[in-house]
Amino acid sequence: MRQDDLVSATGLARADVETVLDRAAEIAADPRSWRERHAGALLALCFFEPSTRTRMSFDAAMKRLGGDTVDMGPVESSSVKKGESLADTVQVIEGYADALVLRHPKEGAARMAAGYVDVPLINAGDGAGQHPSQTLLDLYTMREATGLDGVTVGMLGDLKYGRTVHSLAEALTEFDAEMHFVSPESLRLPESVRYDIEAAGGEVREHETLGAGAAGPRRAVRHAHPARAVPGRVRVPRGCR
Amino acid sequence: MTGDEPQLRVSKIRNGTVIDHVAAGQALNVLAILDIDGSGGESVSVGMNVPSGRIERKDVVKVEGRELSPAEVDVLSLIAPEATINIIRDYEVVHKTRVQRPTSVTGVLECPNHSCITNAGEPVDSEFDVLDEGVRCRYCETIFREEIAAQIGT
Repeated sequence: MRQDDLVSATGLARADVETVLDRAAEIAADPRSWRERHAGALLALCFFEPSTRTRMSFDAAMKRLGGDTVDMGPVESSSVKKGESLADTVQVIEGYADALVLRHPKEGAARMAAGYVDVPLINAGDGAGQHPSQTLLDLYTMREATGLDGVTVGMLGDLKYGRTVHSLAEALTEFDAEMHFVSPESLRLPESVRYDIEAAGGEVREHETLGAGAAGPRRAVRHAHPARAVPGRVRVPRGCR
Repeated sequence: MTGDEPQLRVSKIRNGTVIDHVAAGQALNVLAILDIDGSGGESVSVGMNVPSGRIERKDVVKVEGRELSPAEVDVLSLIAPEATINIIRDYEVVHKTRVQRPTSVTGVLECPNHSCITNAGEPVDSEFDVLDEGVRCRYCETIFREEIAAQIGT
């Protein structure tokens, strides 16, 4: 696996996150000067699950930077339907592209695929596991709105299967963020995420209702499986009210 | 030894490995972890629920004609943390060690998460990091702490 793979938020260091966010801010401030930065580069889009926003945002970003994309297309019309393994598929596709973006319904798919290719691989969601590319977007939005230190963040809803929550929570351990998790008992954070937060010195504050204990987050993150977390807009799921 | 003391009903071996002080009921899981199913031609003796001073009841596994390496037996610590390994040559114990907890295990356990990529027919061995309590899948990151023996691959 390469150091420039992005398969999980677990290994994201603060400095690396800030480097990416700083670069994104530079591009946002002057997109014209970046128009040819990746001229001639090809990004492969390998989506084994439906996607609109993630797929199109990678496609648009690559093209806005002067590069292009090659899209695997729907699973139904690919060799996956003939029984080809993910390992075989990504090894073929890496021959066409300079980097891969992968979304897959199985947890750990990105980590496994990264072990089979020699080009950088970005995890755009693996089952109920991780979605670290979405986390970078969330952190960028949050930094613009409130900063990432000295904030209280609430995450609500399906925290068990919500891959965006898993990645965001783990990434926020690199910052001075107080995290509150609000969900029904049956949809609590998985043990692996709680383990990582605590191993990083963080505290897992869990609530079943939006009561006094969970009050006062300066920035709330809605989560509605299987969609993405959207900072700043709160929709309290049934069961958490 | 007096005639009143309990006797092991497993004969001595001339050369090979004796895995002693295995938690009662885990002998068959020990064989599964070591991938010993008789097809390799080894003579295998198993004692189950044998009286033991240290752990009251224990299982014992004797593998004739094969000296197990530390790497092979350390994985046993996941299900038999008290196990001792005796290397036997010409009926004598020439080396005796306790199992050591490994930092990871590969290809031994099946991930209990049915949505893990290691259960999807891909050409990949399961890999687990060993935690203070339990193990964690390196792919889907699932942690499980109990009934590890039930996840031994067959």
